[in-house]
Parts: sequence; C-alpha cells; structure tokens
Amino acid sequence: MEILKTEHLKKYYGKGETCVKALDDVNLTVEKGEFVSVVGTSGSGKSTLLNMLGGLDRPSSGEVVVDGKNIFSLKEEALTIFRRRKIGFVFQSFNLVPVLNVYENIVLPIELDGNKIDKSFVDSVISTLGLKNKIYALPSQLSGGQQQRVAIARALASKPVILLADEPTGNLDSSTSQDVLGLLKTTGERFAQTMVMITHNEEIAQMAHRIVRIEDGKIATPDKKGGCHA
Amino acid sequence: MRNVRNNQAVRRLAQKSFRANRTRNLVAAIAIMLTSLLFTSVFTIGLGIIKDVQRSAMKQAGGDAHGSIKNITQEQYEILSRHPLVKEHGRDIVVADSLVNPEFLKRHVEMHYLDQNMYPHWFVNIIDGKEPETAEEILMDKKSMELLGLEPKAGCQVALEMQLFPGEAPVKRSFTVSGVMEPAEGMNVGFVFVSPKYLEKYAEEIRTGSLAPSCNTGKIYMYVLFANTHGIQKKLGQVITDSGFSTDSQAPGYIESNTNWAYLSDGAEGDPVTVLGISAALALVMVTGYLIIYNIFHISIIRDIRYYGLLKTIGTTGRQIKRILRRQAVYLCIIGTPAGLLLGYLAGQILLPLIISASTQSGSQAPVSPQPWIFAGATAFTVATVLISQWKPGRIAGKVSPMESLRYTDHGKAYKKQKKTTDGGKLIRMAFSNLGRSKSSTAVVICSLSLTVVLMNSTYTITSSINRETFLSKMILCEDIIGNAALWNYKYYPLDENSAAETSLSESFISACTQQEAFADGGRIYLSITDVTMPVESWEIPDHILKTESGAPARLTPDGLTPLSGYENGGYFVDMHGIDPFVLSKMTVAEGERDTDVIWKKLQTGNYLIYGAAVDDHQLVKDEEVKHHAGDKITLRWRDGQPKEYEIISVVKKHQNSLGNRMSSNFSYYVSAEEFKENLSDVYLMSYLLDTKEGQEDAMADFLKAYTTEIEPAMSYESRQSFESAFQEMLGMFTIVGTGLTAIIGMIGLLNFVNALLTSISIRKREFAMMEAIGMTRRQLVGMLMAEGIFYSLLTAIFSLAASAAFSLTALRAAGSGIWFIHYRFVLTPVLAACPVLLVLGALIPKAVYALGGKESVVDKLRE
Repeated sequence: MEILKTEHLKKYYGKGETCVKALDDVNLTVEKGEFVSVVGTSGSGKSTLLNMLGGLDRPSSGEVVVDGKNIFSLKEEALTIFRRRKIGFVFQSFNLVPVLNVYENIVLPIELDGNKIDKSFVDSVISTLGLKNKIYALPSQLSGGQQQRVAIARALASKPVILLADEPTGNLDSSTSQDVLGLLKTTGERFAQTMVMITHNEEIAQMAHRIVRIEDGKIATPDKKGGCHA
Repeated sequence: MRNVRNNQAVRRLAQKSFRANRTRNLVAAIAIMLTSLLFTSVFTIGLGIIKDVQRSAMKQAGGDAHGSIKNITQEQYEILSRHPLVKEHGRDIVVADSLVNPEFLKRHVEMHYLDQNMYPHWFVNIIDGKEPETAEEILMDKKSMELLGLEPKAGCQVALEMQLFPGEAPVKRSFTVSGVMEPAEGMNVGFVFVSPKYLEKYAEEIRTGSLAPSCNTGKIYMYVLFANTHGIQKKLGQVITDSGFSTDSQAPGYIESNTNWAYLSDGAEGDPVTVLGISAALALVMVTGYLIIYNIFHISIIRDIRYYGLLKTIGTTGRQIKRILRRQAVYLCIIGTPAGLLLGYLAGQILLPLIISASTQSGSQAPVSPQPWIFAGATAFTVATVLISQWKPGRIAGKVSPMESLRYTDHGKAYKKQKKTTDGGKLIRMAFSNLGRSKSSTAVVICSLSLTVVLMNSTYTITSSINRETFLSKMILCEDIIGNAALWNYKYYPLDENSAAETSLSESFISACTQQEAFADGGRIYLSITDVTMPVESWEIPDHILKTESGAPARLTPDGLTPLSGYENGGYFVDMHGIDPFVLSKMTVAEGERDTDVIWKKLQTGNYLIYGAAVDDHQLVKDEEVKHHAGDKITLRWRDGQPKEYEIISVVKKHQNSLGNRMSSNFSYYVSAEEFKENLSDVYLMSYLLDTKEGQEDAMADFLKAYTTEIEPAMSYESRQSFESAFQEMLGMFTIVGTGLTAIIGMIGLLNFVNALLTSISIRKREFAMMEAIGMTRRQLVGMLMAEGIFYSLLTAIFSLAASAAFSLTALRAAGSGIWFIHYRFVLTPVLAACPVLLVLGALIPKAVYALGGKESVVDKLRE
C-alpha cells in the first residue's frame, strides 16, 4: 500500500540564467512499513525533498500525496494540523523545547492536537528508546544521543503514518550514531513505522530497506536492494 | 601588560556589530532619547525654579548686582571702579531725601540717579518711552503715575515736591516723563530716575547733601559685579583695601560694603524642598532609564551570545568585548541624545510656567534660556545612565566561554532541578515556563511597566488628596471680604484715628454690597492695634513663652529675641477686634464655649472676650505661642480709660487673612462691635465679611470688581472665586506634570516590553519553526505568545498593586502629611483601572510583534 507518493515534484529557485533546479521532476513512492533512505551529496536537493514530503516547503509544481491526501491542496493552517497528525519529524539538531521536560516534549504534538494521550503506547515508545528514567529531565540535562532519542520518541508518539528524519545522526559521534540508528530501526520495525531518512553517509544509508540516490535534483540510480519504484 | 595596538580592530568590530543590530539600535536609541528627554526636562524645570526663586529674591533685594559699596564720594567711586576684580559697576545716587507729594503718602516714592548700564541689573523694564536725557526728564514707574492721577504714558508733565534736606522746606520741580517703567516687583515702593544731565545741573546741591551726615541726598552707592558669584564679600573687601581704604568700621577711610543677600544663599543650593524634588526626579529618571537600557543590552547580548563566544574563540579578550560594547553604547548615545535634549528642553519650557505660577513664588514668568549647563547636565546624566546600564551586560559578554556560546538557545541555568510535571505541553503552561527563561529580563520588564503604574497611582493619589475645602478655607473663611486696599498691602496699621480713617473701609461700600440681590449675610470687623493695652503685671507669663535674658516675654524675629511690643512701656499692645455675629459664626472654636449663641450673649454683656490663637498651616493651634486659655481672666486698658477685667469665654483659631489685618500679632482679642465702638470709635472699621446666596457668587464678584474700579477705587476685595482658580491651577500643575511623567515613563515601559518580546521571538525563531514542523499551528503559536504577554500583564498588575500600595502608604502618606492642603487618601483605583489596559496590551503587543516578524517560511527559519 502506498503511503507516500510524489508526482513530478519540482522546486526551482530563481529564473532564466540563474535558475537553480533544487528538485527536478521527482517521482517517488514509499510503501507502508518501508524504511527508505535518501542519499546524496550536499546541495543535491535531498533536504529540499524531505521538506516537501513533510509539507514544510511548497513545490514550484507537482504533488505530494500522503496517506491519499494531496497535502499542498491544504491551506497553511490545515497543513500544519495534517502534519502533526500524519507526519513525525526528526531533525539533525534535536530541536527540543528547552522549557519542557522529556515527557512533555514527547507528548507535545499530541497535546497541540488536543488529543488524548495513548499512555501505554507512549510508555512503550519511551521504554523502547531507553528514556524511562529520564522523563522528568530537561533537554539541557541530556546528552546529544539522549536528546535525539527524545526527538525520535516525539516523532513516534503521535503514531504518524510516516516519519521523516533529516540527518538524524549529523550532530552525534559515530558510536552514538550507531546506537540511535539501531534504536530508530528497531522501533520502526516494532511499531511498523514507515520511515524516510536523509543522510549523506552511505554506511548509515545501508541500514534502510531501500536507498534512493539523488543527484542534481533528480533521482539517479536504482538501488541494489529493492529497485526503483519511481 | 603589553600595549597592543588593537584600537583599529576593536573599532571595526564595534561598528560591524553595531550595524548588525538594527532593531536593537532603534529601540535603544528611542530609549536613550526618552531618557535624555526626561533628564533635560528635569534640569530645565529645576533650573527654572531655582532661577525664579533667585530672581524674586533679587527683585526684593533691588537687583542682581553682586554687591554694593555704600556712602562713598565720587572720587572714591572712581578709584574703586578701577580695581581689576570689578567687572561691571554703576552708581546709584539718591537725589532727594524724600518726595512729599500727598499722593505718595500711602506708597513711598524714591528719587534716584542710576547709571544707565545698571538699569538691566535693577530689572528696570521700560514699558513706554525711553530713558531720561535732559535734566528735566525722568523715568517713573506706572503705579506712581497712577497715584498722581496720570495716564501712565510718556510725555506727561509731573510736579514733584522734593524734600532735599531734612528740616528744610520741600522744593517743587516740574519734569517731563520720558519713560514709564513697571513698578518694582515685591516692593511697595515707587521709583523715579533722573538723567545724567540732572546730576550736572544740580551738582552743587548733591555735593552739599553728600557731605551732610544725616541726609540721603547725594549719597553714592556703588553696585559691583564680579566675574562670578564666589566669595562676593571677600572680593568686596579686597577691592576696598586694595584701593587704599579700610573695611574696619573703627579705622579711618572706612567704607561699608554688602553682598546682595539674594546671593547669600547662593541660589544654586536652592531650598531643600526643591533640591529634594529635583534629586528625586533625577533618581526616578535614572532608574527608569537603567531598567530599559540595561534590558536592551542584556537581551541583545544573550541573543548574540554565540557571536561573542565566537569572538572569544578567535582570540578576542573579555576586555576587548567590553570595549566593543561600550563603544556601541556611545554610538547609541550620540544618536539618541540630541533629539531628547531638544524635546526635553521644549517640554520643560512648556511645563515651567505652569509649575512656577502654581507654586507660591513670585509668579513672574522667567523663561529659562537654553543654558549650556542644562544640556551638559542632561547629557552627562544620560551618558552616565547608559554606561552604568551597559556595564553588567558587558561583563556577561566579556565572561562568555567559547564553549557555552555554541549552544543553540539560552537554556538559562544549565543544571536546574528536574521538572516533575507532565502537562507542561499545554499552551498556557508552556507560556508561563517561557517567562522563566530569562528571569532577569522578565523581572526588569515587569519593574519597568510597574513603575508607570505606581507613578500614575501616585499622581492620582496626590491630586485626589488635595483638599479643595482645606485649601480654600485657609485662604478665606467666607465668600467675599471687602476692605480698604491698604488691608491687602499690609497697610491697615492704624496708629491713631486719623491714620485709621485713611485706611479703613467705607460704610458706603458695605451698604452698596448689602443692597445687592446676591447678598446673603455679612458682618463687620473693627480693629485697633495701638489703643488697647494689657498691663504687664496683669499677665502671668506661661512657661512655654520665650523670654529674653532679662526675663521679658519675647518672640523670635530675624533680629533675634525681641520683647513683645509694649513691654517696655508697661502695657503690651494688643490687637483688639470688634465683631458682628456673622463673623463669630465663621470662627472655629479651639477651646472653651462652643455654642455661638451663648458666646454672643456673653460678649454682649461686655465682660467677656474671645482670644484668637495663632494656627499653623494645618490649622492647628500653635501651642508654643498660646498666651491664654478659656476661663482665664485678663485686664485690658482701653486707650486712656480705666483697666477693665474680662473673662476669656473661648479660644478660637485665628484666621490671619479673614479675621485680622494679615499681620501676626501677640495678643488678639475679639469683643462685640458694640463694646468696641463704645470704648473706642467706629473709624477702625477694617473689613466686612460676607456670604452670597447660593449660585450668585459670580454676580457678587462682578459687582465688587466694578465697584472697586469705578466707584471707590481706594476700596478692594478678595473673593473665594479668585482662590478657586488658584486652586484649579495648582491641581492642573500636579495633573499635567504627573501625567506627562507617567506618559513618558509609560512609553519607556512599553518599549521595554516590546523589545523583550521582539528579541524573545527572534531568539526563538528556530524553536517556533520546529514547533510548526511538529504541528503547532500559527494560531496556537500566537495564542502561546499572547498567553506569555498576559502573564507579563498579570505579574505587572500584581506587582504594581503591591508596590503602589506600599509606596502610597509610606512615602506618599509621609509627604502628604507635610503639606497642609493634602488630606492623604489611600487609593488604588488607577491601578485597578490600568489592569484591563495592561491585559489588552499584554495580549495585543505579542500578536502585533509576531505579525511583524513571522512572515518567513518554516524552512528559512529552521535553516538559520
């Protein structure tokens, strides 16, 4: 089942001579439960792609369909609400709210939506990520790896249909990176979570089910594992 | 320490950092402008008040010359004037011992020659014509001309009867009035000035006079101005001794000299109330300025902490960072101060006349010229405030560790206690937590906003505590008082029946008043001050009365302890008043019988009288001056009659202006008008107190005004209405000054608030973007910011309520109890009224501020 689909997604900056094609006709499909990594050098357009997938940025043309909904048909406000219900984000710089403790950070998107918190689910996410004895700690009291685990928990807590991760280990040392990625993968599998991860690190990309390579705004080579669905 | 030539680099960094902080610069420049505006106004007003006090003292002292050298000859004058210390000098020569025109009996007129360069120093203000030139021309003051029955215009002919030498017949000389001047303020004396030609023409008689010892004619007074006002008396002495004369009154060649007493208090010191007021205002402005400027710098440094960390990383020292900041502060002063100086000066000029005319000083309008030291003082205070304000933020920036500054936002204290809550994600809770992020900045903003509210509440407390009735009843006890104009010139001082006749109220004026439709009731007061005495031996002197060394009862006067008048002659002079029942009904009894009917019946027996005790500003009897108590028996002697014993039935509070001749007296007694007339005469009619029918006060006032100008110009009146406007003027002064100060300090408070929010939003841009990414809608974000603003308002409301109450109950109550027309009232209404306004502002300002800065897309903000 398709959870995410892009159709002729284009993002151009500028015009004429100086036109930069950040994304040039990208067609990508992600199946439910799939873990896709997007790799590319810096400037290849991979971050732009992720921002489009998450509805943070609007394309010049083309569509992004998430869970059967063309997200750019939504107005700003509705898009934000759609995002908090359907999409979870993990950023390179953990981006936790400094005045909230771990637990509060994790349930923030649910509370913003005014929903009842699925306590047992949140608790299982927390324990899976090994944060059980840290729930009252403030972000400033955590290490980088711990912070990123909180960010992952936050992204999972609202049971999004898709989790988007932008260089989730970019700010971590390599052994911590391994831990975090391991956790990301196991939790993803445990909760049957669809995930798209951006990275420039081939080694990390290998952990995914499928690798999508992006170069100059275009999807390049079909990957080794599952072939290109584009 | 090595002296590194790094000024260039520091300057360049300062300039670049300065340019990168446009919003902060704008806010800071406005804050500095408002601060310097306040300082300049305070200085302008303060200086204006001091000048006004000094000027009115000078007017009474006769001029602004620094000192005078007395009774010298023309030769001595020429020698003395050559002394190098003397910057400016002029002669004042008396040309007639006195003027004996009958019109000048009530108001003494002096005739002088004054060197024309001294005219400005004597505040000679020619309103028509010009200075005298020929020997037959004179300059004369307006009021003296009016007394002569002349239109105060140049060109009039006057004949002056000049008493040149005492004991000789007066000489009559005719003059042409070449110019008319304003009468001398604060003195009930007229002046006539003659020309230099006059001196030449009458050189002989002036010379004769100057040699005669007991004659004023021909006496030369030398007025001297030095380079400055320091040590005037010493310089005068030096001028005299250097010129070969002596300052020793026993030595030959003795010359007397005097410092102008207007300079004795040095003026600049001012009176303690003014000095205290100005210092308090300066302190208030400094605190206000500190609160905002400190906050602006503090916030901007916290925001740019990574930048300063970076500077540290690449090798900038803490000291250099401090210098970079100080430099920026100086740039901001250069931008903000000039406009503030200008606006503050203008504001001061507008407020000054209001303040001066409302205070009890001369009432003259002396605009303060743009004195350099107003601006110098205001600039110095502004720069000092700015430098003090940026000192601590500068230290913070200087101490930043390169590591710490690489963090992503301000975390506050790194390892605080854990936060054992699980509902912090609720918008309101989150908003509240956000206030605690930068506790000092939040506290400063709240203080700054509260200052405005406290000030507003204080203004309202003062204006609502000013008691109209107390103010008016201190001025006048009834609706109108009529009398001879002399009464108001402190000239109702009848030494005998003849002089009483000249200064007493006419019965015709009274009957004209009683015939008015508006007239309701009234009563006469007769007063004699020399005809009744109290034999010294009949009064047992109470212990609290001051006594001279020889044991005579005395009072403290500027000359020291002075025995009560009449003591030496065996009988104290008493102020004996005869009153009608209406006057009695206006009296306030302090002691003894209170029922006016009973008092009146007893007064009519002729065996009783009322004793009037002096009261202070608060209308409380001055215990230390009380001479008698109710029930005391005293013996009085009416003119040449036999001593008669009276019993004091009541002690009343003596209202100086309404119940007496406006001068203080040692013994004040009131008997019935009948008793008074029986023993003395009805020529001592001093005044008539009257009330009008309700709502007809204006009609009566109009009648009185017309009558005293057209029918009996020698008569005058005073009405409650005239004090009403003085009262309103004073109230208006408090309101305007208070409101103006509140408005500007309020602006500073709001600016502080806006700046705090603006920077907080710009610091948290990334955080907001992240929140948006994880699903916080803009509406929720704005909601959270509004909640933050409302929390600010709530905290401000609570804090200012407490602070206003505390300030009001302590400082205002203490200050109010010292001012007689203030009946302290505890009010917090303005604070309560301000609360909804604060809440609305608290909600709307964050919304507006966010709308200004929230246009960028999430991606842009995340990328930063």
